[in-house]
Amino acid sequence: MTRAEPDSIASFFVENAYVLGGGTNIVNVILVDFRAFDTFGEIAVLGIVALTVYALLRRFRPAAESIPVPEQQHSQDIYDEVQPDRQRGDSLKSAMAVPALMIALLFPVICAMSAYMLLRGHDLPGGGFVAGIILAVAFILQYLAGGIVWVEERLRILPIRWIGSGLLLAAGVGAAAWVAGRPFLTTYFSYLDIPWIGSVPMASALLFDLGVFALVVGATVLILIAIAHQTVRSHRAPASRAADMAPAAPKIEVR
Amino acid sequence: MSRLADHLLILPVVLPLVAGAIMLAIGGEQRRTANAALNIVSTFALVAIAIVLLRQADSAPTGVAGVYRLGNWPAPFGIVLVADRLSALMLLLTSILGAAAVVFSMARWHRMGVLFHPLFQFLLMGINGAFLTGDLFNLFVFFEILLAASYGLALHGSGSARVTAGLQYIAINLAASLLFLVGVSLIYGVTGTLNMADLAERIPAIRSEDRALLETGAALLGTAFLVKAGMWPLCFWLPRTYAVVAPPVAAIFAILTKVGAYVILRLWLLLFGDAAGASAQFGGELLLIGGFATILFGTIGCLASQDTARLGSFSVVVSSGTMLAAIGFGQVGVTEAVLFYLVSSTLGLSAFFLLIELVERGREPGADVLAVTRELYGEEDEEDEQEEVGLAIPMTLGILGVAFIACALVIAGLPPLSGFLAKFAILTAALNPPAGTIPATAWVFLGVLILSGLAALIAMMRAGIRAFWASPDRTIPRIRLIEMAPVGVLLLACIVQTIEAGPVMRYMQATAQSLHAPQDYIRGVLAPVAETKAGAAK
Amino acid sequence: MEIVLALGIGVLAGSGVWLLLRPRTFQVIVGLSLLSYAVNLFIIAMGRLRFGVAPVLTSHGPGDPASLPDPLPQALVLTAIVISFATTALFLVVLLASRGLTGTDHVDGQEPEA
Repeated sequence: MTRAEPDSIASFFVENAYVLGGGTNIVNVILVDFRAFDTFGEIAVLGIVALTVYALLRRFRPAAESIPVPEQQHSQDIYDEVQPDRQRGDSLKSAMAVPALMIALLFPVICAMSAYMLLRGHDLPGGGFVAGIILAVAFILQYLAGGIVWVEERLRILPIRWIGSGLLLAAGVGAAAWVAGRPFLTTYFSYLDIPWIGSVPMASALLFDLGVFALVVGATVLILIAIAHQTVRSHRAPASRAADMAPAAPKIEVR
Repeated sequence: MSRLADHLLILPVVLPLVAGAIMLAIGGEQRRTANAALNIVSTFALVAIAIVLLRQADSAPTGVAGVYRLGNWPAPFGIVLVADRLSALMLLLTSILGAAAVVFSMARWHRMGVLFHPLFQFLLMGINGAFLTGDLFNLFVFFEILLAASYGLALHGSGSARVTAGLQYIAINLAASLLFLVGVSLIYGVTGTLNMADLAERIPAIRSEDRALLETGAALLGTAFLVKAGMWPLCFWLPRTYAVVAPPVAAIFAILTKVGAYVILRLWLLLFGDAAGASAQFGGELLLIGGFATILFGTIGCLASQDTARLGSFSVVVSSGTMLAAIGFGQVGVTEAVLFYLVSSTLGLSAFFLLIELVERGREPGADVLAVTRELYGEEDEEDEQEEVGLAIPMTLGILGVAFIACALVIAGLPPLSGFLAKFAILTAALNPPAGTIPATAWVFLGVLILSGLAALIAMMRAGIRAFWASPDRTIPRIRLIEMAPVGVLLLACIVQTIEAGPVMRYMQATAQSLHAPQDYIRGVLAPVAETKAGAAK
Repeated sequence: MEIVLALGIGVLAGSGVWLLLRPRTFQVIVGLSLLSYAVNLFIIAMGRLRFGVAPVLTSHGPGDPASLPDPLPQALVLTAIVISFATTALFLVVLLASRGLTGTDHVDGQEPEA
């Protein structure tokens, strides 16, 4: 790394990032324009991995010793059972009430943050990937605070469709260049004058970034939900298997 | 540039991607029938596209059907896809295997787990991309796509055997991918470019103090590819994985080791061909010796394997070894023969993996293990011979038997099928070097090839006897037409390759010549674009 | 500074390789992660080290390659990070599944005899 640099293709990117690519964040311009095909492949990998995780975990039950309910939760459940005016799980609910409320209130804030990151990516650090991760965090926080059942009663997240639409959007943006007679993934940008907001950079790379965003949200959420559902499924493990592993664990109906 | 024909080159990558994405967007597993239909349509469209590309490449005087500049960026800076004769050939082979596997899977395998169809399309996308790309880092990306999809498909159907084998498969490939990255970045650090054609231009001019770094990078890259190609001693993951994956998946996996061999063939001849100056023929001996060792390892494995799926897997190892050793000769004549061998052995192995499942159906699992121990300890049931005077072979078994024999002939390399022609061509070329004197390695190669063919024949015969003759009380497998047809088509392709050996060989000859003299390829990739990006984007 | 980076890469890679060769799946996955960190740092190092400047243009015009760090390895490393993150996540899940199906965390799916 201390040797003299060779005459590298990188100087082309530095010189032309703004002139031809329309962005000042050179790394991001490389990712969504000069070498967008790599990014295209990268999001495909992420999507494929999420699908594989989902396919593998869908029928799978977790390892035997992770099936029993944790000690503390178990004693809470016993306490709830004994009290006539309480239902099982109430202790857990009341303990999580404050964080759950705060996290629920944070949800729109995180979504706005994610949109902000998505829009500033072409010129400043940010971009579809970061935005996607942030939104996925918003979803996952709800799962953490509210529990699987609570979230899925209220939100219908279809991560597989997010993945599909993200890929389709990215491919569609790439193929749109065909209409103009240019090769796949040729980008287009100009400045639009929107009343009251002013001059806004409009790059087709932004739509591509939107595809990246949708896929990242879908893939991350799909992986984490697939893992989260293990907890639901583990307590419904067949009695024969669960019985000899965890004789003390009471049966909990989650659904 | 707005006609669809101009964008034909990108379709082998985009079409499966879009097909897979649509499958997911309409709801994935909930719409399995729609997914299956899309899968079939897309795969067969790929066959048609590959045929058109093959014709284009063959009719072009330079042998390059086209160079596709993604994002309209000029060549060494942006990513390019290049379809020359070799890429087009590999695309066609992939799509044929894909079509056979997808039709076969319709019988029941696609219901073994979820999301088979989208993963299958993504696998095709990765393989096609790896064959087309002309950029080193983009090659890494496509390798990862095809690996990620192959992990998914290897685990298709789950079960502890698949998961344990998958675990090892993933671990070794992750490690290999890291080597790949180190290699790519070293090469970039030394040469300052990622485009393969540009690299070939720059390598002769590398400063001598940087040459060691460059060769280290190339060696690391080579190791990564050899893991995928399954060269001994990097191939221990292979038999175990291939033996347990679902049959249609194994059929398409038959091309995966060939992806590694393809990249070696392409990059080695491009970067370290005769024009590379001080680095010419770098690592050739290693390929040769490694290839021999791989053939021997595979041969021993073939003889030792107790069940037919493992026999198939070790045949994959033998086939890889033969190719690597032959590539290591670095002669035009051997290269053209090895291309012929590549097509024939891939088709034969793929058909074999599909056939195994049909033959094994209706036999109790573990029967093979018993049969071998019985052979060993001589505890055959004596009364069998008195009761069974003649054995009526029903129609289904007859068809299966013929197909089995055909597979065995192709894989072992016996006349009259294409496997024999391929091995014969390799040996003829190796024993008739342009220099005049026959190197000792050629004689070793002759011995090793004949030995491996003999061993394959013995192993195949034993497997065939066990499957068709040994157990008269077996239930006759129920086989549907859509399961038998793909096997038939693959074997038919072998037969066509045998009958039409003249034209096929001529094509391979042209391919090998342009591989060994890649000036046309380099010029095609680096040619200046007529209109500049600056005028286009605004 | 180069020596710090070189040592960092070396230590990460060395620990990674050692863990990769261990028999337990969890050690293997930690080893792979450490190795991938080492590789990512290595890719950055191949663009040569440059301190105090980010590859972001300050003016709306052509940039000066001599005054900015090489942006290409940084872009490549982002792609590589995502890919290795994704595949490691997959490996983690396969590890979980293998643990659940075989009842052991040995890489062979069974405890060594003896």
